[in-house]
Amino acid sequence: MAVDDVIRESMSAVMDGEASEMDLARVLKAVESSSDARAYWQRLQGAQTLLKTGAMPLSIDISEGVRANVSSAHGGRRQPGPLTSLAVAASVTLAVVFGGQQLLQTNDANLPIAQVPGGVMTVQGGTPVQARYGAPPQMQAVAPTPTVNVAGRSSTNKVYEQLARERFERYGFEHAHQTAALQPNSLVPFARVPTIRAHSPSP
Amino acid sequence: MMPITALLSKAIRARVMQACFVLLSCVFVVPSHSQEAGCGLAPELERDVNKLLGASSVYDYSGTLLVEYGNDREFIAVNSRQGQGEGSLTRLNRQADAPLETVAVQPLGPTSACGLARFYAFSIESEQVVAGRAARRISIRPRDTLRLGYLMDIDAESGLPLRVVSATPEGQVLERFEFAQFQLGQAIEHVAVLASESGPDVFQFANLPPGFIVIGQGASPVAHKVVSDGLASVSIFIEPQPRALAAGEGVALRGSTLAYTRGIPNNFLITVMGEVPITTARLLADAVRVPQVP
Repeated sequence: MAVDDVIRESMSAVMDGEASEMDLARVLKAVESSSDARAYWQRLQGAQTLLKTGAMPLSIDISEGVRANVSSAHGGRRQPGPLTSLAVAASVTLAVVFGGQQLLQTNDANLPIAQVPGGVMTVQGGTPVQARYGAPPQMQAVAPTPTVNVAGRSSTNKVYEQLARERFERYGFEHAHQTAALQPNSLVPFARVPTIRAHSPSP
Repeated sequence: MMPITALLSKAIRARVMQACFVLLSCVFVVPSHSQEAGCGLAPELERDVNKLLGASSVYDYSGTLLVEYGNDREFIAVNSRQGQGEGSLTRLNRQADAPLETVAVQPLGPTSACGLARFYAFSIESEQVVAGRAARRISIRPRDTLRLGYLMDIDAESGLPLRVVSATPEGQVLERFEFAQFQLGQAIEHVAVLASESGPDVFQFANLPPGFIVIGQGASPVAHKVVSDGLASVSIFIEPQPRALAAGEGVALRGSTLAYTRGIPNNFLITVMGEVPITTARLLADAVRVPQVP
């Protein structure tokens, strides 16, 4: 059974710290009574966790955690403020994050992991790239080739941002060339390329 | 005639884009009423989506394309000659007498609407008029946070997308393509098939994000693989670390295209490039496995 849109919006409001008492009650009821709602809530949490920490959360039933947090946060009566809602969402998130990469690991011993232990590189205190779910629109169409600060402003990550810009320019044509045929309009990928080389990239 | 958008002030354009966002938000949260059991698509919707997916390899076309990323706009004259396996673009705002850029397009078998329905929710919206042609609006809403969403106004005759708005899973508009002027060419009888590039299998993937499969690989300019879910496409490039750097990551964005780099000290630099959210880019970088050198 699909999750009702009203429930989805309430969950988004909780995630964004903008939930009303009605939203919290709705989320609580939904995660207690519907496995689909629980799964959807976990996906929201998982995506936000991944964005913030680079870690994949394990799959855990969090209905009790939600209920406990909602109850303790405002006793089920008072109108919660944005900080309270945010705290509920954050505490539930913390409750389900184990920080592992287990979901992505395999047992293939012949293929060593091409990354340092710990999975996705993040720097403590880093700013999440994007963590809004269905909140009121914040119109920010992306400007040409900006960078997103994925892991703080350390000098190392500034260098990686510069590398990302350089790779965008360097590999843009090859990406367009390889993927154009999959697009409903095959010239659009080339339109995205800042500068097209005068010859085919593949010998 | 000067397009209307060229006359709009920055503020008005922002309003227009905001209205577009609201529209997208509505589309993304309203469930499709056209979907049915089984494949999940009503016959009419399935026919339209399949027409959309296969249109670019069926028809030649030309026209003037407006490309918009936030406040950055560009007009590009395009001419697709799929029968010859090529196309051309002229960027009209770059310089006077801008050069013609010719590109090769490798045809692939189109994805089916039913194949995509596992990961995207389709619905038919209102009738539209784009570049003077009757069009039908199709909303393509991702079922998870690993893909972008789209609003496409497809040409009623050919199924070619005349206007495309891309947005994040949360509904944030990333880019817009729209034909200001469009001419449909003849249907193609024979599609030129180019030899696909291949190369050494430098790396593999452990677990790809749901729905993504490897559709190609190559060795130029560096070792790379291409994965797709049938609509979203991502290229993953791997090369030796260019500098002595600690581990880290960086992102560059332009419209809906993202370049995500991750460095492994004294090892490799992975670049994930494609029209996907950063979550997907990170998952793909996580999945890269490099065989051990004996």
